[in-house]
Amino acid sequence: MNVRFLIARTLRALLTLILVVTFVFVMLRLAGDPIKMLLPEETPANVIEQYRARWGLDAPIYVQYVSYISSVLRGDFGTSFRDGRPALEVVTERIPATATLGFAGLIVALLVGLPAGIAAAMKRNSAIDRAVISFAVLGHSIPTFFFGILLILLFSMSLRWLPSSGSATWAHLLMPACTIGLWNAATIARFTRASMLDVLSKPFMRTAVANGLPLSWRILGYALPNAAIPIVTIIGLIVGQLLSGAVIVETVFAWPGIGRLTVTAVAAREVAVVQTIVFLAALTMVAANLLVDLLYGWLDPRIGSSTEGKSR
Amino acid sequence: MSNQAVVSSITPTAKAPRNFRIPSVLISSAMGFLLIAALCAVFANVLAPYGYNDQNLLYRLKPPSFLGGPQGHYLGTDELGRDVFSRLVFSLRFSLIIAIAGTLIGAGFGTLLGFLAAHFRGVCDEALSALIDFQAAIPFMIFALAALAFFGNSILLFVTLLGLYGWEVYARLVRGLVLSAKELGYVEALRNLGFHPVRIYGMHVLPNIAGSLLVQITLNLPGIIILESGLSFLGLGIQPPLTSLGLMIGNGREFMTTAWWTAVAPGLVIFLTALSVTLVGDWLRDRLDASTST
Repeated sequence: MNVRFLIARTLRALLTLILVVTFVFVMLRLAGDPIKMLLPEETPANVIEQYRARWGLDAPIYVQYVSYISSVLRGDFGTSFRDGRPALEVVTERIPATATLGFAGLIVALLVGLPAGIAAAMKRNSAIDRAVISFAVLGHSIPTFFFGILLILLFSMSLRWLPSSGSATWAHLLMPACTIGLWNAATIARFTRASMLDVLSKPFMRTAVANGLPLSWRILGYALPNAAIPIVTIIGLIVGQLLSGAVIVETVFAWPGIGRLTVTAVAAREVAVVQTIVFLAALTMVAANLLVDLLYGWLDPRIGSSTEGKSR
Repeated sequence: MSNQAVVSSITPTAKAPRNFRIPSVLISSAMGFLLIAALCAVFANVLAPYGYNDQNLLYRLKPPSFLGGPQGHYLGTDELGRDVFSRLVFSLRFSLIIAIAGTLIGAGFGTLLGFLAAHFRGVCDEALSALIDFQAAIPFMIFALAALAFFGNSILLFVTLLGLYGWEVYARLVRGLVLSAKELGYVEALRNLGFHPVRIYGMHVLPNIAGSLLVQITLNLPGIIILESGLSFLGLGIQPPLTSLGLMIGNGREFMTTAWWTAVAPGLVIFLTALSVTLVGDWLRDRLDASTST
């Protein structure tokens, strides 16, 4: 992979982040007086004046814009008026809980989705294939909040096996991780199947069969690496969407992460906290995309090399 | 690998592998369900034995009548003694209206931008793709929640937000379809006859691509239904005294230990509606066109 590709992608990621900051700035200005939204109502007048000067709200709009960006770069997103602490702190202390849940969910999704997609593609039009496709369609028709409620009804209330809410033990992680995981597994299974079907019809797979390579070798050594690009893309999207998925699932299972914080912050219209979460979500998305781009170059050296197009 | 699979893997296929056909029984049941749901939504006033906000505190959290609950409450009552069945048909009405309105806004907006980008190319085209890239950078759920926090909740904003979900799919689809239509003889002929572009696009190109658009609308609708019910479930979408399927689940969730039906009934309706629309959408895609199969 050449350096220019890397630099171009990184610059693009930075540009996207600047666009997101700009977008939030514009939205906030459209919504009303930012000071009234960033500070609690009963803030004394001198503090308001301080903030006005610090955020440069008495200056022309382009100066305000620059100073907004610079405070964002310094990590100053305003104060949460619930407990008076910096919004950044309120949000970052929740990251571990959401990351744990997201990671567990991703593992469930991969463990279920990848084998299901591969099996469906291998035995195309068989009962397995039908089962996997039905699973994918059903999985995307059940909203996560309803699936979570069904899990609670079954495992917490009828069987009394698992706790329905909280995050104290590993047992608490199981149901939320499965709720996120199975929804994403449906997506992964669908993409893996399509991508594998595509690769399995390629001439080199025929050669592998003709050479008498064992099945596991053909799949893991030949088919899967060649089918990897679309699969990695969709996994990147799933990681990038981690925060949005967490919003509903964390609410259903009372998991103390960023998702639940988002809901309470939006309901209370805590603009400082909400804008911090928006930046974090965009950062997650951009980082996931960048990572996927880098993986592309590693998975398929043709991508991003200067001889692109000639090597085909 | 079975012999058949080996054979099929050896036979070179020019087209991407297609899915097998969905059994027609499933399609008919899905259409049947959607018809019933639509009728329920339209005739909610006639069907519902009670108003959706009629409270009866003497009959709180009663089970459905088929489980030994009071007669007349087919699906039981909720925490305020409101009839779950009556609320369900009205919720279905509101949820469907909002989901369809959101879908139409998104389809209209996306289609318009697609036409503009395909007609003017150049800067317009670049701007569209920059906008699409940008939309992809913020997860939609977070974006919608932020807008609700900044501007405060109103039904107009909520429907607009739902409309913004998925507009880029239509924009991309229409842009591609219009670009290829521009190369076709009939558009060329109309242009040479001196017709105004608006007339060519509106009266001749649009009807020709309507099939693909309809398919895309059906494929997008389940996502919007689930998004709407998700936001309402969180208490950030439709607000009481109005009701929606998601709102019902959000309320019912708190009474799951004693009255599971208050959450399960609306959940099943959302699930079956989304599933039916998905099945019908796939079927339509197979029948009407192959251009949108991804």
